[in-house]
Amino acid sequence: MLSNILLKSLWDFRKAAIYWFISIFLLALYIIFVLSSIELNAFQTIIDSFPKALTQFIAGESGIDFGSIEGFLNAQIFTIMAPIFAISVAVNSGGKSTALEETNQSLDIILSTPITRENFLIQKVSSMIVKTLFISSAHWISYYLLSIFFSENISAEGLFAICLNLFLMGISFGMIAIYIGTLNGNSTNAIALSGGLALVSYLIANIAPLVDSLDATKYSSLFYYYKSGDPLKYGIHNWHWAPFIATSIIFFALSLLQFKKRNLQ
Amino acid sequence: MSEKIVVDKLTKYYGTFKALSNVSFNVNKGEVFGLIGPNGAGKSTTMRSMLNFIFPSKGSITINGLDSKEDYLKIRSLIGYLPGEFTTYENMNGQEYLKHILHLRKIPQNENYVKKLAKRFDLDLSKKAKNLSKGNKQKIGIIQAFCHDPEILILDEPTSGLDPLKQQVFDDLILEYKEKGKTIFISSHVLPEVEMLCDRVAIIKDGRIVAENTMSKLKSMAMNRFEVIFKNEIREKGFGKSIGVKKIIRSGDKYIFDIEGDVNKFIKKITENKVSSFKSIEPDLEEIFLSFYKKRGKGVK
Repeated sequence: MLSNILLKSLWDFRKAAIYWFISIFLLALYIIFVLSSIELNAFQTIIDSFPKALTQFIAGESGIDFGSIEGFLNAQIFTIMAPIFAISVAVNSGGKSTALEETNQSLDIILSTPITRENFLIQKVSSMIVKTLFISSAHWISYYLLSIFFSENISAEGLFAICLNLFLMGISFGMIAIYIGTLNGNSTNAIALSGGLALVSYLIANIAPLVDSLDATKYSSLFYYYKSGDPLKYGIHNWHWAPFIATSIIFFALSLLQFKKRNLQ
Repeated sequence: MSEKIVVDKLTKYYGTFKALSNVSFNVNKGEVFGLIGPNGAGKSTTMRSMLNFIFPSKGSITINGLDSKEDYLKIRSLIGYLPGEFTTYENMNGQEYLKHILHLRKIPQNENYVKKLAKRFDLDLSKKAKNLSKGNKQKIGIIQAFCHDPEILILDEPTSGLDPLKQQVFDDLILEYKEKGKTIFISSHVLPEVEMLCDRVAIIKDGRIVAENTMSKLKSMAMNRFEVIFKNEIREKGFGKSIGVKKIIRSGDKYIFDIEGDVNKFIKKITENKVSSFKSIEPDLEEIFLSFYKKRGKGVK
């Protein structure tokens, strides 16, 4: 497991991966167990009495649908919890990938071996992608298996679509964190700035549609593409995956250029 | 090829700050070359430029005939490097870390050599780095630099944190490598060690090489020191000031003179008194270093 930088990085993640999987599975178990035990329509009656602006602010443009288990997962788990998990792992992994190694000066030893900076960066990016994929897959596996176990009607395709978006959005913010880390080798800045950007993106996606004059700004938010197509209900959107791919590619290219040309700290 | 490392007019700017200014020297095959200077003088910048971690603003570095910017990958397979602040991964034990480095160097078969080195340094490879002392972490750093039996070693403060016994083990290792014809470029604050190990030394000050020569030549270039016992009392105040006497230390009837000027004039001056004993004291590297550091002059070769 220690034969290259990617495998070493994943080896470091092994314990965290177990804890993440257990946490995600237990959360899913708790949610599905509770939802399968209560009358959801009664919930929806209460939600329907809320002002529309409030429900949009909480759950985005599609509002809150507590009348079905899918609606509940959409409004609660896949609006807040799952993105926090995926983005945390992606941003933490991305922000530390080159920057922490540089701050700790462990990078000097790695780059004194016959490894190029590009190769090092690519392996670190791959590690961030695999970790984010793991978190997204853990959501997919947990909710899919538990919906079967509790005989709940959750669309397998919808679940796959939202988890795919979760993965793609995670790696977009992870790539931004990597890029910030390559600017000056400061992992704290990289994590804080990219995490902050994710928060701003979430707020824009949820607040902008409430104000007509700001409505167009929602297109600048990655969170908008993550959920506005309601993937849990309608499956993979025609093109909402494209901004994630474009963001990831652009920031990957910028990171490569920056990391290659800069004096190391 | 006798010149293994050639640094030619290496200059490095950070914004308007000039960290290195026309640094030039060469290190020959089988030679141990020392670079000494205080913190911030430019030692680490010079070494990190050799590894292509820092890009020179001007000048060039050639290692084994290869350009440090163009052929850095080939150079890295020839070099064993120990940075000034060696850090290992805290969650790994010594064996795991060194195995990782061997894999990155694509020489996993060298594990036995690593074990031999660890035994020599009395290092327990099964302990996690977070449970190791600074000295033991430094041993891991030294072993990773030697693990591929490199042609050229670039070692920045290699004995930092080592106890005197392990410093001796390190010195022996360096001398063995020298005997094998390997080239060693070393920076250290431990001046007696540099004096013992190095064939040639360069002194760096404010990013400039102020002196570079063999140990014996440097000694002859440094301030002269004489011990004199007079039969009569002398007037210390102002004694020989005009002929370059910089410092007089008196201990009983013994006088120590530090001379920067013409030694003949000094001898003439002291013979104006009754001298019962006169001897020259050879300065050690520390004194040479301080002597060059006190001089405000330009580079001396």
